Amino acid sequence: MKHDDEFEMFVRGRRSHLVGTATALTAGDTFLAEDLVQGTLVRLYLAWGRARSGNVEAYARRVLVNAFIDHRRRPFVRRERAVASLPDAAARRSADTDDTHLLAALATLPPRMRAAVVLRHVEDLSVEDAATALGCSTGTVKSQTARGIAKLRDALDNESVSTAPKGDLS
Amino acid sequence: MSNVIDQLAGLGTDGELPAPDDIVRGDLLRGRAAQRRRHFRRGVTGLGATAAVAVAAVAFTAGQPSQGPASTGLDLVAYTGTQLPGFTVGKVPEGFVLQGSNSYSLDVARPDDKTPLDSYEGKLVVSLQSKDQGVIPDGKAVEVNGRPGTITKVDPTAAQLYYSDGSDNKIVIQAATKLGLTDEELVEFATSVTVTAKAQAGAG
Repeated sequence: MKHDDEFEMFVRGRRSHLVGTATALTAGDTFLAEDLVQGTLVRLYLAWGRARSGNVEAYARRVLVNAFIDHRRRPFVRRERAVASLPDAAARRSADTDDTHLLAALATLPPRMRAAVVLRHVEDLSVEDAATALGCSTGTVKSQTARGIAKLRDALDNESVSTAPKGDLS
Repeated sequence: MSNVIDQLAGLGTDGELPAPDDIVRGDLLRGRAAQRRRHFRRGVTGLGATAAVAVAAVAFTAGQPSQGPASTGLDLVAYTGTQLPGFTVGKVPEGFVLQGSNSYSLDVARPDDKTPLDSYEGKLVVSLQSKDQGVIPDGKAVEVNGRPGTITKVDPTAAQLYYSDGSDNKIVIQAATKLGLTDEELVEFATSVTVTAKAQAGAG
């Protein structure tokens, strides 16, 4: 049962962190975040022998990012459209209501750009580690992150000018 | 406006809490269920090629026509050894032992089989149907202790018998084709199986 014990220990210690990453990737959609994490952990369990021989956390993170990007490629998801102005609130928000506008702004970023921003600035990964998780070059991470941050600033600036928070945003 | 970066950093601050036991258990069950499905699909796929080669080799060396897997001639005999938690059996293929069990399955295997419990190649495996089991695949209708059952051939190298024991227990027994058990023998084995309170259905 060594396999199961090790897996359990990893899940116990790191699951919440994965859910936090997934919540940021999904721009506050906690239900989708939970789905992505569950799928990630199933894949991790199946590949535990391979994953544990290296950096388990990096492996899990890469699987999670891929699951997120794959989810965004699905036809029913692609029908969602970016809009010029931010919604009053993200469809589903994290427990911290102060994050509402930030999550709504994140939701406007394309998936790979959003993932780059989240890995660099939410996960606080190095450019190299973010590139590994995304399966791209460090140059791509840098450019995607810079553009993503610029878009977030624009979105949040516009939001602060055009609308003030409206009390209960749920 | 480094404020954006500060705000982003704040999104990840609540991620260090240990996951509750029930959540961890759910992840473990889903992983195990996925592994079982993988073994069900793959296990015996590789074994199929091995079995085919073995049968061909026997036919060639003996100079006799192959009679197929059913010619391996395993008979069911009464099992008198120690029972294991989860499921008890009254019969086993001759020469086989109870290799081991956990809450989810019982593996009946040859004494020299050292493969893990979650590897089902060349074994008879008794388990409860997954809680998330959908429709049972079409197959041959049989009767187990007077109740309806279904034998399906999910791939050429394994058969699965689905049936209920009359309580809430829905049981599935997988038999590698390599064992050479006929459908009647699979049913005969099933009639000797009893589900105990320690048995649990997997999920996923």
